[in-house]
Amino acid sequence: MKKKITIGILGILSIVIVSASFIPYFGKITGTATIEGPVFYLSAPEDLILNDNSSLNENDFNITKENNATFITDDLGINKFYSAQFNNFIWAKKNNETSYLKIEIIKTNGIDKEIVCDSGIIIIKSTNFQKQIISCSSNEEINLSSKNKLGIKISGMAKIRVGHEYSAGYSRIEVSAT
Amino acid sequence: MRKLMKKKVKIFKKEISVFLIVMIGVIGLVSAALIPYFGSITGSATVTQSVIVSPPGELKFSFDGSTNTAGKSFTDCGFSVKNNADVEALIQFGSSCSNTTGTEGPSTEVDINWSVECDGIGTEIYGILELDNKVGDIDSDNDFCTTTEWDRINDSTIATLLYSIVGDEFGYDLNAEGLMISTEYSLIYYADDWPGNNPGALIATGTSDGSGDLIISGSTDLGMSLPHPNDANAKETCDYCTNGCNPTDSHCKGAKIWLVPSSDYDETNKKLTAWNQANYLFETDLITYSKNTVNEITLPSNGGGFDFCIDNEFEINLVPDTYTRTTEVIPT
Repeated sequence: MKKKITIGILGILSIVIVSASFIPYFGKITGTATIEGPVFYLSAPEDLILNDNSSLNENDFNITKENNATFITDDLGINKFYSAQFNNFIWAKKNNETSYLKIEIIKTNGIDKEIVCDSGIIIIKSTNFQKQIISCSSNEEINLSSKNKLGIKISGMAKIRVGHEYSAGYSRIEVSAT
Repeated sequence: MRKLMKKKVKIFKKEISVFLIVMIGVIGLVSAALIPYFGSITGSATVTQSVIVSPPGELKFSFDGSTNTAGKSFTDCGFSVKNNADVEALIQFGSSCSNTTGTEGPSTEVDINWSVECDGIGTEIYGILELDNKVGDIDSDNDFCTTTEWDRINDSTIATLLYSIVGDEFGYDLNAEGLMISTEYSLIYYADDWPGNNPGALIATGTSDGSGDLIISGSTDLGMSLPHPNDANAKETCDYCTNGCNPTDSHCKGAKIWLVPSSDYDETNKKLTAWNQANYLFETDLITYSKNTVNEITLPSNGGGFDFCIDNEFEINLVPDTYTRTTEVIPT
């Protein structure tokens, strides 16, 4: 019995010693990246362009009670989106009176739409376009299986400008996780 | 002597004969003089690594150290794996992915949709090969290359093939330009020797457009791994790297992939029926493909291997965080 135990211990020791000499891999490729949420740029005629601000179309939109504007992405090709905060940077102005803008983040298949979140902001009277920051949060994971485009509907009373580069950037939506 | 025999010393409160102690010492000395062996055979060898991943040094993905918005993709090529041993080598790719909450993997898949910690990252590993037209066999000697024979022609005729390294089917994605216009071409496995049917295979066909461009993609069941054992470029006698014809090619055993006009190819018998070299795009290196579903890749001995790329796609719904991707070439 003792002999068997001794042989067993020696065997295990041998395996450990031999294994230690094997290389774990022939080669290795690594990389670390910090990933931030996507950015959607508003562009004329009524588009939301993912991440790329190199070829945006500039235009002003007169938002009134009768006229609103809805900017839509292409098909995003995803089924879900994490619970997200949408920080909407909109360049807007109202010349002669204090007014307001309302934004709705929507998901759509091009026909039907569903509101993900909404918010509004007071627009102070100004003759120059001012950056307005309007944020809203989905509060839950966004299911995109049937409606795989995102959009932003802007309503209220103001003039907005898209596709124009200011020192503080373009009219855009920055997405972050909540 | 008698005194010595009678003399005793106390060790641990017991009396022991000095003579006895001396005798034990003498026996010990005599024993130490016995030879441990009648002969010995020794040898020293420096063993180098059999499978080499290049370029040498610490390899990094192009996104390393960067900050990116979700929705970006990165393609990193220029990697190569080569077996320098005189026996076949079995390898796998082992990939893992981690963020601040944990690690997912390792996975030996070559096409991964990460679904736990890295849900929203896609990784794909595939082979890459350029096909090119080459200078004719000016000596017409068929088996000997001068300094100019089979050199690549530096013109606009070229093709890039992305292909499966391992899998049940051989996936291909060919992008060619500078071809004869409106001509049907065959993408073939040319298995030496002439006429390429050892056993050879038709991978795909496609017709070039009015500009001489051709794009074909898909997958097909070749029914074998590449190279096939009957291929001259798979055998021990393979001279691909030593015959002077392919001085810049990296891999010395493997399969030749060619793009030829279909009119010169017998699809049924998997062989060339004519030799119009000016119209062909040849391999610029030998490749390997392993047909299996367990992601085990067989590298032929003495120089077998492949060049490969790795795509990493950070989809737009990837949760913002810091991610580390690692891919290892591991022995199986």
